[in-house]
Amino acid sequence: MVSLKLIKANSDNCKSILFAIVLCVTVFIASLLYIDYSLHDMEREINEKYGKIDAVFYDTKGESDTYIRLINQEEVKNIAWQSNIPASLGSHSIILHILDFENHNLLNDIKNIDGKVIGNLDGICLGSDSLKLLGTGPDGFELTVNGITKTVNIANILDEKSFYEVANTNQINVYMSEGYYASTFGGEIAKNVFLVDLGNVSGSDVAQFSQKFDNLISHSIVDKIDLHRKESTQSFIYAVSFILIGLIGVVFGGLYNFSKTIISENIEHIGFLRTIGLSHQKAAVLYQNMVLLLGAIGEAVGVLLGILIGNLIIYSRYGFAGFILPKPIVLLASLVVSIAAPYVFMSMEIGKYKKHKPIRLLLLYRNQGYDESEDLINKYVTNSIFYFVLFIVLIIARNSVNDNLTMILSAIAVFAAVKAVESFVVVVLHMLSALSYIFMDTRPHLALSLKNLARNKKKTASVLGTLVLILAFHIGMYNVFYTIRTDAANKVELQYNGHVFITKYNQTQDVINEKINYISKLPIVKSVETSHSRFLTLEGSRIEGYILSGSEFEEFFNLVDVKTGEKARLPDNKKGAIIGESLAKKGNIKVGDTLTISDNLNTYEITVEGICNAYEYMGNVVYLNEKYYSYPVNNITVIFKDGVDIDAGIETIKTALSDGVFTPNIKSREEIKESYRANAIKGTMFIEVILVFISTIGVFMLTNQVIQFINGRTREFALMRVMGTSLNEIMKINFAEFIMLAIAGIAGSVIAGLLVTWEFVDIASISAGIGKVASYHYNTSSILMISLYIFILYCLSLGLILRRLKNRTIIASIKEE
Amino acid sequence: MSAILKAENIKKSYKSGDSTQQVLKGVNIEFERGRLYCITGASGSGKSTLLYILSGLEEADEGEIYFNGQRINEKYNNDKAMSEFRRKNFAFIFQFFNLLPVLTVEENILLPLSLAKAATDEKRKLMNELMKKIGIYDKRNKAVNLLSGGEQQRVSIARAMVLDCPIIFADEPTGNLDHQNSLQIYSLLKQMTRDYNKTVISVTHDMEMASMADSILALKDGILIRSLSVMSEKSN
Repeated sequence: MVSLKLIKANSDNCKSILFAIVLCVTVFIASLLYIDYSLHDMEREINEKYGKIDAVFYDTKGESDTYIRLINQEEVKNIAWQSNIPASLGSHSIILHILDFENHNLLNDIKNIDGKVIGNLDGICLGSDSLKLLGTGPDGFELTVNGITKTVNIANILDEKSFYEVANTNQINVYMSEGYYASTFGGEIAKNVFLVDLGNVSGSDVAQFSQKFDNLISHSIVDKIDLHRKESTQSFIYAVSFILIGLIGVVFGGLYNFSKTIISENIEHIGFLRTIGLSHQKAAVLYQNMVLLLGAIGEAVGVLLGILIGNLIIYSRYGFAGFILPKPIVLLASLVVSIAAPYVFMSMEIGKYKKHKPIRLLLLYRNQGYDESEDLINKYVTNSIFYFVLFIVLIIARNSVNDNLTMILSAIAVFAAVKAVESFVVVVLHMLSALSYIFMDTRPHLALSLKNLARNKKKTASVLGTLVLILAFHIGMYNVFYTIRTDAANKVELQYNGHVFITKYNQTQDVINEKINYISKLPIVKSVETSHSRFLTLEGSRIEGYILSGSEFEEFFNLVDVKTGEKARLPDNKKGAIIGESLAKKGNIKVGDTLTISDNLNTYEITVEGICNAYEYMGNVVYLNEKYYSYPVNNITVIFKDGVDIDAGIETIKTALSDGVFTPNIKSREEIKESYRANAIKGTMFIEVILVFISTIGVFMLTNQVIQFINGRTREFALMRVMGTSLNEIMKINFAEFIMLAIAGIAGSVIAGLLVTWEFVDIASISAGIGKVASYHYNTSSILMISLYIFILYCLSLGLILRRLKNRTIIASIKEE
Repeated sequence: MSAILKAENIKKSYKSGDSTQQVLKGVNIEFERGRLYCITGASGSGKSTLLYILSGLEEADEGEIYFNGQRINEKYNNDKAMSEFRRKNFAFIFQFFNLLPVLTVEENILLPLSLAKAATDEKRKLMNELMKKIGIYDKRNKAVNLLSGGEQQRVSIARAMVLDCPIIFADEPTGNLDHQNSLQIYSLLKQMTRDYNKTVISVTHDMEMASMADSILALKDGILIRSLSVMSEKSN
């Protein structure tokens, strides 16, 4: 009951606490609901795309007994076949997939775009993308297979998700049933693609099984799914971490401030309760119960809103998926924000007065108002210098310590940067107040605003601190994404010398060798690198293995040995290998160490003979000499001769490698750079949207401090009203004052944001396993946009706050004590 | 002598929940230039409310206020006009001083003039003269929160006096001061009415202080029960 009365008595602050809790719980629940659904959707998509397939085999040699051999293997639980053959549809080259739709039981049911299961049909089926490439035409198409042309009709449009496609998306894939092919074209169909279900198996089981069929091209779907799952999950984990850091920083800071304000404004009340015999504990319980009550209300409202908004986001992204509810663990975690944090902060704040005698509490109240009896400018000058020096020292120091210590030093440096800027802006405002002497007679309102900002240093610093913290955090975060993307792209560009990068060449080794030979002889080609890249395992962790010759490594890679600073060279001995810097740091690996790596089938002992600044697979890479490892070529890189038109050269290579059935992935240097930029941090759009939410909550916290600032000065405004200053003039003074504060704060925040970018980037890149970036990049447009957004939001809030002044009567304000 | 300020049939009531309390029940009163008036009465008698209505800080439910024969409610019927009228004609002294803590003594005294953009050299000279007269000149560059209660109230008096306003309203100006300081403040107020021909209308419940006024107006339950001239009373 008393707690309810306390809520009523502190309605402004309590409304703010409640609002903050509701917002945070809403963001928390909505985010986790979305993330949970996205992960669930990813699994569903994997299931739809791959069904029960564990491996896919391609028979390019037309060995008729392959199917029977596969069926007879004991490990095979189930098998389906297809026949993929080149054909033409009208004037378009296509890949014709012939299969038995009704018995193609390894895929989930093959569906059309309306989601209905389709069976064998008299006609051809296409994916909607293929249809786009084909263009609209007459009902009948001229289909030519092995020189025989027949007229066929489109029988259905396939949902591509329900079908495992071998070929690239920019190729026209046409599907037809085995029966329809036989009735249209007649003759035997060569079964050349086999989809195999090996039961519940791991990547190494698939590799072992594939070894039995070395005449076939094999694809481990299990490995592919594992990688996809790992990459996607990792992005979500980062997303959740960033959201939590943002929420914790902004909300906890705000809740702490509100608790502090409530206790500071209620010191007299606490003192009075203590005077009449209430113990400190009992007085504390009243305030603790108050925040518990607010937390309970905030939790209930926040959960409801979070579920609604979360479902709305899911609906907008995925369409209607039923009404999703959060998991119990999410609800429990949200209690930390709504109940635990406010309770702890309130207990901490009231705990500060535990040892005060009741009469001392009453006296403290008398000093609550303006208490700057001494000029604090020296303190702020000292603080700004101290924190700036500390920041510089930490920046220098972290270059000579390990990654873990770097992250700790970076975190302290962030604090130092924010404090340095906060104190510095207070000093600047103090210096600007000198102008008040000039303006006092001509522009008294401006002069008063300047004086207010300079003389109320503690309150000014408090508002500035919040503003700098919010904006610097956002600037830092946006720069993290930008820097890591740009850095990844730059590093990759610097790392490779090639002009054309060919991967995913799903062909037999004979064909690949033949093509390499052909390409090498093209007059435009200077040299061709042939290598093999695959995932290897080092002490249970997945790393990328690059297997190539020493001369190719030297010509095609621009990697620097981190120890010597010279160009890295691949050793020409059996065990010798060089590894990426990030891998070395993560595993504390030094030159001379012996490592045991595995490719799921075999294990190899290697000796680290060099550590280089490789970026491939986030630096978790090992380069091995091809002389000692018998892996087929799956990467081809081409360097053109000087003066060759790169685009035309790439087209020539594409034409040379396209055989109608298997088109490899061919990328230019710029495309490789772009793909690294896109893949450097996945899923950041979601985080960036969440950041906007966090900034909104932050501005709300900020405006609440402004309210406290203004509330503490109502008598002052009333006095000015008595002296004949109109209400509009008072509002103008306040507006000018807080706009000046915001402009100074935003300018300071941008400086702080740029300073903390270094730390944020280091913390993010090290924790993500990328290793330190080569250079820091600033996303100017994001900095401007977020600054503008916060400024506009702040101005709107300020306008609303100032309107409240209108409702105060002069008499009530002047008598406040 | 004609009245500089006149109130006719002033009525005011406040609502508190379902009940209505009538604070002023038809007060008629006149004030002349160059005199010190004290409105006295017990707590809740309506003396402060009357002061606020007279000074335009609060509106009466009924009745009229005339300044130099003009109805102020009619002439200054919006916030801007009323604010300007107050700035030109009325000055205030409060029980809790109401000085701006961010300003020095000198800046506080000059504040109303600065706000009116009227801080001329002549006014600065007057301010210096006032500060010397009331004994705060040597503290003119100090922050006001470093002064004692009596000194702060002197600053508010100087702030009120430096203006060209003919009327100064004082709401319990000694309510927060000890006896010695209270006597000094009332002596100062009286001296100022003489030296600068100002009308001071003060509210107090302290009869000893009230006895220093030229006229005492006693309120009881919202009605003016007695209005007497102290000089004539003394001479009688």
